[in-house]
Amino acid sequence: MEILTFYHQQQCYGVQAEQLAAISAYSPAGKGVSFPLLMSLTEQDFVPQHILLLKNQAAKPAIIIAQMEDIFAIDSQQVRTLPAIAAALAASSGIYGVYRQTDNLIWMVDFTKNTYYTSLTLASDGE
Amino acid sequence: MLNYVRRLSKTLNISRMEGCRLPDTEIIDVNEEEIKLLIFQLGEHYFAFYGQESREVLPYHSLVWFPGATDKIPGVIYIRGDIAAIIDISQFLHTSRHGQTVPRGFFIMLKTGDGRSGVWVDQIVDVLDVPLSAITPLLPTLDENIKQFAVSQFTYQNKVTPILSADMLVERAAG
Repeated sequence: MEILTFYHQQQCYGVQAEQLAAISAYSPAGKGVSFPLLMSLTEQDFVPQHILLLKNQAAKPAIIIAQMEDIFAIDSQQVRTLPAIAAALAASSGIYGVYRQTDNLIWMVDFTKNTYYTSLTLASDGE
Repeated sequence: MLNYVRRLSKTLNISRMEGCRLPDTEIIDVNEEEIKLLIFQLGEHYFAFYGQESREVLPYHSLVWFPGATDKIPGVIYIRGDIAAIIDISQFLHTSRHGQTVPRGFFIMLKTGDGRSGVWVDQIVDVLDVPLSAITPLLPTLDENIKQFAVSQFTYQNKVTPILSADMLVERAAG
């Protein structure tokens, strides 16, 4: 499968490309929710660069990320699920697994499982 | 040495040999069941896990933050192609670690739960076989934070050493 990767605070995150309807440049005028906000992370040093639109999520705001890093194919069999006690903590953020690329770990995120994202609608903007 | 004496007396059947009979109080019960304990140190305290609950011990190596990490579950480690979560047991027992400017210590990897978790301790002290009779119920005066994870205790080097339940620890960590 193909994944899109990006960084936030030295951590690398990956999203399955097939979940994405579009990737475009960030515009302050657009309706979006920032990735750190979705993940309950600090927005320190966060520089909005791109927005992600998810397939079948027309009623949801776009997800604002920092600079998109790469898009590449990985073997889905190599994505490890998290250990049970870590999975319980990460579940609400939509993190479902981790892929190791040389010495780098890529946290795989499914935004449709992110409890904050699922609570948002365009009418409320999440802001 | 004790084990050696036991094995020797069993082999030679010493207690039945004429003229070699020991007073009743000194006869060693060679059939007493023993249990393996892994003793570790956290701060100034000794604790133990039953041997059957621990899979292996690893020296500290890079603990990696994960989304959702907490003080109690501060990170994961990569081990032989898989990921394991690490429990900072000092946060559960409310004990302080030895002053550490650089993280160090050991990970005791547990068999319990999904078998993909480990406990971060300061030092591995000993692995030994203890007669069942040496394991006693918990002291009522034991610290409440420790008591909730301890199942029994024994004395090691004149220190009361609580034996912790890995199951209870992992269950609480997951909850």
